[in-house]
Amino acid sequence: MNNIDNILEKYFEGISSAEDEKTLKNYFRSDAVLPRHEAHKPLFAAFEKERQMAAPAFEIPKENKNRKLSRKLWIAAAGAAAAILLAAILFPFNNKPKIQSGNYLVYINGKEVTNPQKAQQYAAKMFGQADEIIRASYEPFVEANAIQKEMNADKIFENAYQKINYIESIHQ
Amino acid sequence: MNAQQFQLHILCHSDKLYRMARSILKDESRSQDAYQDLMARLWEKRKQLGAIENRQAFLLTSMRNLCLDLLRKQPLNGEFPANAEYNAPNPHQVAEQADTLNIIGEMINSLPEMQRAIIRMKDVEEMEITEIAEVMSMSENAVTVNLSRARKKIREMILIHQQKEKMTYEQHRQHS
Repeated sequence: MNNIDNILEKYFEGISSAEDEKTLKNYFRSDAVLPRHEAHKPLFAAFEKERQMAAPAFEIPKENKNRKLSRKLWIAAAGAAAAILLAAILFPFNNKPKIQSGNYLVYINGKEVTNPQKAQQYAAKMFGQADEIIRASYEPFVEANAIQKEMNADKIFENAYQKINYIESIHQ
Repeated sequence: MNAQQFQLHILCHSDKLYRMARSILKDESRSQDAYQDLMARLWEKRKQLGAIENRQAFLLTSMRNLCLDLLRKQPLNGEFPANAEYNAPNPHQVAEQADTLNIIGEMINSLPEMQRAIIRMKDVEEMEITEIAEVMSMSENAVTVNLSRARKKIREMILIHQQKEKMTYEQHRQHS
């Protein structure tokens, strides 16, 4: 039983191994506990008792599949609505009566035009306006290029060098 | 992590977590609430739990932090200060307290929170010093020192209690 005394000493120093502690538990659970060790018996019994304390049940919440489904449905509905809206914007005249083949019909600003020449004139006018807009838009870039060319450092240096030579020749 | 994995990897630590809550909060009702609260939070974050390596240490640390946070917000009535000494019951009280194991439970509860957490993790949950050090965020040496202090203090309290019990028994014998 000296072995138990040694283990108890290590136990109270906090340096007993798992094996030592197992030996102590088995010893104090047995009926062979010596009178000099009796004082320690309730301590190990108290740990045993605490080990039996169980947690209350935790009910895992049900994963809400309906919620996911409704979200999917919502996304599908939103997609369909967006598609319908897009179609209505891109093809606003789908509900108009179909034109029989051979007839000429275009819509300009929402108005029906059946005369091909008028339609071509209108198209040429619009192309002309577009060309003007593009030309006007490029104008600043053309000017900027011209300025850049004028600001050529070599040219400026050359001019200055010539002027200095000229001034020096006068002084001489 | 689905419900089955949650059951397998998280709920298997339930008893230890609940006992940790009981050790800190010392109140059944509050401990149950804290435990349910932690589980609900873990369930919410279940997708991230798979990446945690040492789940037991993580869960115990989470439970401890949650309980300590609860204590900061609402301290326990009659909580022992960190340096409190255990007051052994008088002979009359000793005669009334028949359940020695409950008394030892109270003795452990009278220890500072750190010591009682460590002694319970070691002697009740049978955890390794390394793992306790991880839960408590301290060195293994510090765990060993605190464990030794806790065990010695409990031993001292038990011896005092047993002496008083003996005295009460002697007094009662003399009167009769």
